[in-house]
Amino acid sequence: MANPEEEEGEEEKYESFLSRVRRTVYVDELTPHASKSVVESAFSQFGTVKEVIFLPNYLGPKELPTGVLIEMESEQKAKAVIETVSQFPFMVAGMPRPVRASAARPAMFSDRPKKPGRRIQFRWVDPSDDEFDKAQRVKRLVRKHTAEAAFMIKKQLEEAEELAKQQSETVTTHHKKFELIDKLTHDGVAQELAGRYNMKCGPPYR
Amino acid sequence: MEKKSDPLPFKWGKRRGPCVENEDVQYYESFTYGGCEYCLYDCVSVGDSPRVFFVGKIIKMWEYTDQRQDPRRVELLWFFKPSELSVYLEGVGDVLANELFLASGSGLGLTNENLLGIDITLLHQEAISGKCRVLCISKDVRNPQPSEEELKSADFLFHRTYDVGTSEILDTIDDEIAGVDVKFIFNRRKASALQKVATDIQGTVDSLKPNHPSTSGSVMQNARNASDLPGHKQLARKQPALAEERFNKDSGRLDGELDRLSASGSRRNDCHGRKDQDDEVRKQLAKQKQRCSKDSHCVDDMLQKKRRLDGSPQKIRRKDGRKDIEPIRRDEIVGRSRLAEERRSNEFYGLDVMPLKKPRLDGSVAVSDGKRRETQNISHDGKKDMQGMRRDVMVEKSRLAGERCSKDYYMPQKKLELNGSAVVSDGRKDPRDNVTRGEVYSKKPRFTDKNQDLRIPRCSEGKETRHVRFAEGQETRPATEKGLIKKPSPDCKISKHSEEKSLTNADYRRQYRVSEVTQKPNVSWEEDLRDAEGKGTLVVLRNLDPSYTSSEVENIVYSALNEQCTARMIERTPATIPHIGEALVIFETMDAARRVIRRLHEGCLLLPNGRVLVATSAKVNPPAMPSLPFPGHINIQRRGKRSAAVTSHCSQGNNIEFEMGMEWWLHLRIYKQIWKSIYERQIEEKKKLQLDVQPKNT
Repeated sequence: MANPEEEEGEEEKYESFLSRVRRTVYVDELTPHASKSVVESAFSQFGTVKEVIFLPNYLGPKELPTGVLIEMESEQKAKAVIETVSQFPFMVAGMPRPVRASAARPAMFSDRPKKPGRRIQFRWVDPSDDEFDKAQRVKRLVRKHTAEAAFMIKKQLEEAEELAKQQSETVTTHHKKFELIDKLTHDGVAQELAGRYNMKCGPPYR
Repeated sequence: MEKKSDPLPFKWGKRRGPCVENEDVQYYESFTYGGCEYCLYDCVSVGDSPRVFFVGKIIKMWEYTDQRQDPRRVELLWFFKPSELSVYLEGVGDVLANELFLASGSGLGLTNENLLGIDITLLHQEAISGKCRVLCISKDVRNPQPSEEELKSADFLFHRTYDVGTSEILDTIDDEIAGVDVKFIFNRRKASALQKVATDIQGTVDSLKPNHPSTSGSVMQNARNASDLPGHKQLARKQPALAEERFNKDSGRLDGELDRLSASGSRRNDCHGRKDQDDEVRKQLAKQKQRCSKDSHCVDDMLQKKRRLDGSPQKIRRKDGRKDIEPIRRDEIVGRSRLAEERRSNEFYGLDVMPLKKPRLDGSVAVSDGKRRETQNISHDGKKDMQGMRRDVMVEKSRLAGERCSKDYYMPQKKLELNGSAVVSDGRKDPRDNVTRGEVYSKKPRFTDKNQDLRIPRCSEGKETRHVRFAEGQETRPATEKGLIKKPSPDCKISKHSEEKSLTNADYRRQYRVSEVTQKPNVSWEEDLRDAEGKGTLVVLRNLDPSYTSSEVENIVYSALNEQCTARMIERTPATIPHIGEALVIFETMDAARRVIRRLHEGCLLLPNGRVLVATSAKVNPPAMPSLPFPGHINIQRRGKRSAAVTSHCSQGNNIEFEMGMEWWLHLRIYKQIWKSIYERQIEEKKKLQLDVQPKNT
């Protein structure tokens, strides 16, 4: 039936694909503004980056953060990346939103070779079939699930925006306070006041 | 009485008799706030964010005259959203997408006293943000049954109540709820409201009547100027037009009327040739109003030079209670057309009803819904012509009841909108709210991007390579034809052993050949994708096994549906459902795509693991560069210095940046859990429907 040579070829190909997968890190929550070179330089801190593949977002919501596949030299390097990024918030091309790294999986590669030895069978289930009803229900379920996921993603993105807004406000307030104090010391006002109240004021902030 | 320091103007309407219990209280029957009039027993939406909003019915409104803070109050009888009652709804059938449950009984949560006239920016959750239409579809004899158009234009529906005391869902409605007579709960006959609106329209049209025939042309020319006069003109013209159609149905003068309309319409060539849609819309309206009693257009009748009806307007008006729909519908239509022009969404979608700029009519809150709905409709309409007619219908009705629309074009909507409450909440935004407008406009770039994409002339290279690919496929076909018997005839059922074998033989041989061909890089894929989307040959196949490859998908399509295609599996990431595989498939012709979709819709293609394929016409995101800043990235402008360039780094624990990074992690963690539970549940649900590719029956 199946040509043994071809099967072997398939298996080899699949194996090398798998090892490639193991070397690759999947990074998401990345800003869409980051370019390939930015990402490359960011992750070259961990070791040589062999390849950077951007995953296109065809069907998801537009505001979805970008996902990237980063192929490192070896499996250990990849693992190191994942570990570090999971322990410390790693910020790429902006802060403070960190990226997220995880091990890559075959389903993340759109150009993957097929699993060797897989045979797909199918059957048409039509209205005359008594399992038709069930099949229709499956379809409906699929639609429902897709819709649920879409909704959830939207929620997630909304909350992310809220969080971002909050953080931005906090930062601005902090910054204002800082500027205020800075200005005082800069203008010498703080020193003067300190003199009048007979208090010590630290060295001018520089 | 007017409040001086109000950001939005507030004015009480009609007074009621003095209050017996408390002499400091003065009851009213209506008030005007922010240009919108709210009457007793109107339904309003409270809260302005899409997530947090509530619908209530005004059952009391009053003002304290004793010099206290915030003297104006309303009492609202609440409607519950299904999401709030999910526990009690288990086992209860058929909750519609925009269904609400009226609170009844007694206890906490029945009604609330709310402050009135407060600044919406101060108390978001509690401020009334607008009116909404809640229609009662109860089959109770006391309830005037709503018409089709009402149903479709209502924001919400209800026919059941939720007893807050006993926590039950009840189908029957008692004689009174929260001290309110049940006749105010059901749909109101609102004869008085009609009188008022009718006279308004009459008044304006009458004043314009002398100019009617001669200047209508020039008026149309001015249609683009946002002045009241043409607006009302158009309003008046449309009414008579529609009225005529309806009345003429029997007398067979319909064609004459339409001719006249088109003749006068042709003068309006400056309106981007939307006349066709106009006519179509009018025809549709005419058809749809078949059932409507003739008397409902008494108002229009008066404007007509030709007399059609015998009855005088006065007499007829009293008959039917549902007349208020018509004048208000004009508002809707007109208002919507104004929005349509604002958005300048011509060409494709033919959704424009009337090319008019017209200031918003008072009380036409439905406009905001239409606006929202249309935006959403437009933003993910992947289908065109054949859905064209239906799209018009959708435009006419600003809301679709969940079950009522066919799956075909409901699906694309569902992708982005989903839950009834989510959609509705968007629609709830106050038209005054600038945020809403901002969002409407922000959807524009996406829309126009799409237009541009499609206008990009197809690169000849791309075309060639694709044809080459298919040519190769063609060549190999004859060879495999022998071995291929699996024609997708609808009646052919099971994969018997012999069939299986030969299928897999051919399958295998084809696979081998196809895999060679598709080694080419994906550079031209992007272009092909955009082209295909434009031509309508793009389809999304769902519920594949996520581990399938693109070529396997192509083979599946070929063997099961006998169509050539190029496919691309969409990568499974943490942002996509892990257990449902999706692929984008490009067919050669739109017909092929449609055939496939239809076939997969009518029949069920069953793959291993009980996976029945679902196909829909695809709409993909444009490849535009993101214009908005990434949420979560903050840039501080330092006084006197340029903002520092940010290098990628790991944040150490001694600064605020680290803490904020942690907050993001927390957010992700939470959602990871959420997703996990969602997926688990979904997989459970799938398991329950066990379907095997090998048939069970002998």
